[in-house]
Amino acid sequence: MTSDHKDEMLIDLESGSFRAEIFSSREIYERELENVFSKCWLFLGHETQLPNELDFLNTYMAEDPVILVRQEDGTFRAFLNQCRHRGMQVNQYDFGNSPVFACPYHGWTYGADGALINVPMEDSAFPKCFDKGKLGLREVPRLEIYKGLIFGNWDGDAESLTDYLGEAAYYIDALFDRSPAGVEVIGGIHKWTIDSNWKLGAEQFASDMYHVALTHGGVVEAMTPEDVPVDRRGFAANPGKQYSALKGGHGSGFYLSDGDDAIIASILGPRVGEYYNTTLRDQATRRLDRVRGELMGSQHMTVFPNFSFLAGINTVRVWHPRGPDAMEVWSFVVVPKDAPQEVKDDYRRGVERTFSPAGTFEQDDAENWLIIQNTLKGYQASKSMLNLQMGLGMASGGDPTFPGTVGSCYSEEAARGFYAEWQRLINENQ
Amino acid sequence: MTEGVSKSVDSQPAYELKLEIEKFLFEEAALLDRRAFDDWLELISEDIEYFMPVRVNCDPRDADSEFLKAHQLAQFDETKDSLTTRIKRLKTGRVLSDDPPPRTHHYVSNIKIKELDSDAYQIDCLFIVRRSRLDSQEDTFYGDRTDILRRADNPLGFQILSRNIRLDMSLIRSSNLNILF
Repeated sequence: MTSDHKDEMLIDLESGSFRAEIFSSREIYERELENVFSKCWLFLGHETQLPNELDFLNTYMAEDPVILVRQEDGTFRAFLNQCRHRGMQVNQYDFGNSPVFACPYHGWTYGADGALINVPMEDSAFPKCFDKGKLGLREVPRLEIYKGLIFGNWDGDAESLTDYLGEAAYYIDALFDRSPAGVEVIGGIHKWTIDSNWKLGAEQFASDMYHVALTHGGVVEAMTPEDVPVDRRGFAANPGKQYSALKGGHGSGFYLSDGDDAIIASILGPRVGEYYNTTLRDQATRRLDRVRGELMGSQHMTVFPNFSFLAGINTVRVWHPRGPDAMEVWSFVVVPKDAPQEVKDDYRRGVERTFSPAGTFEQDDAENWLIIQNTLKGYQASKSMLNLQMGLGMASGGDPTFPGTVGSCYSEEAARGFYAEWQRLINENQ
Repeated sequence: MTEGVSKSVDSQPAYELKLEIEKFLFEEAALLDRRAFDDWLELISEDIEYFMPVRVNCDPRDADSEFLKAHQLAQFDETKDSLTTRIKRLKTGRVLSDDPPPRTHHYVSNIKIKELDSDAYQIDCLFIVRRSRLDSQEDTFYGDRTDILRRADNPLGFQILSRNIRLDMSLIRSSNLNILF
């Protein structure tokens, strides 16, 4: 690791600027793999994706393939998908149910608990010192669940997930704890590649309400009913807030308005709109509070580093890094468990049509990120200082309703918080 | 590039039908490549089922090992209304991933025709869609497709009642599926 960036401020939080090459430098990326993705809580799956004992889900923690397995006692464990012999993957299936994982190369077989239970020719071909007990699949040492969301951490000394989330839980609950029945994941995951740095997605979902009217202008125009005034079509007259975590880099933003949320109906259809503005609103107001039940809308959020969602629209995703200049997006839909099937189907179709590979909103975002990334091939472009001043000095803590540091929803306070945490981690042990 | 019909290929009506269907499919593809989206919409029936499942990689011994199931995620699950909205959006001229527009070519091949009744047909075929955009975006989408067509009074002579598109990709190796298949 060269010392090119060791003492350099990649992010200047005081003046509000940062160096573009945080999105393109291979050296910085390698540091991220070690200091961010091996130290932070990373999203693995939702409990409802593995309803039965011995269900497994192939997933990733950054670029490491990981198998998430529901154990026979109902708990969850996660293992690196890498045989301890020569490193072949022991599971090739996206998901399923199995008591064992057998490596196809030489037949080493592991149980659902990761233990190495069978080695062909063990007695005849291996020495006495060969100890199966020490050769289980490498386990993700920390695994904790918050409101059904399963997170893993390679750092055995990491603070608890609850401490890691801190007051961000208030904003996470706005989607994942609206009702007694809770949410479930509609089966399946959309997976696609975008040739851009993972932070472009993570930052936008933490901090960027600003882009909607311009980036999504075409689809907002096409999808908003004719009778909604132009100035409410995505660049609101709606006031809103943006939250930046006191520590940890999490961020969120949302509109605040009294009255029916018209955006839900535009994007997910009238049946979901009706359900959202009546049943869901009542449930969330009773379970949480009036603010999160009735007033908050169009919420976006990122849990640092790379887990994001839109509440209301109910798209949830992970931005898996694939090198400094590519990411693999995994996205799924959550619905209220006790919603009627027709409502669940409308959620599914609505999100498929807007936030997915064929999603009309998503396609506009990817376009920005692709071209940003392409531009960073340029030496000069990579050295540019980019602006991070929106809302600088205009946010504060101590809001009686909203925990954390809070400012206008048209702001980059959450982005500054995201990059502050990022920079702190990047500079550790350098 | 066509395989012929399930009836005898020697019979005159079967050969004419083959040519008619081919002509329709090739001209429909050309409408999309020319971005004549309103003309294309006219070929879509009011109760179209336009569907592309999500492809998965699962144990081949399991049923449903290749695709997700009903009520699970799909890539496309469209009605005439939702297809109309997609096209309406393209016509605003304010779609980032469409400005400037891509250059596409839709290839249809290995066409098999099955008569369902006197004027409705099931078409199974293979497809390749090549898309090139700006200087750096290049995609190839391929797979197989099943259409149900019915004779209709429109410039191309058929309406599409349903289209089931099976893209060969599980992980979509492209930044978007901003394309009509």
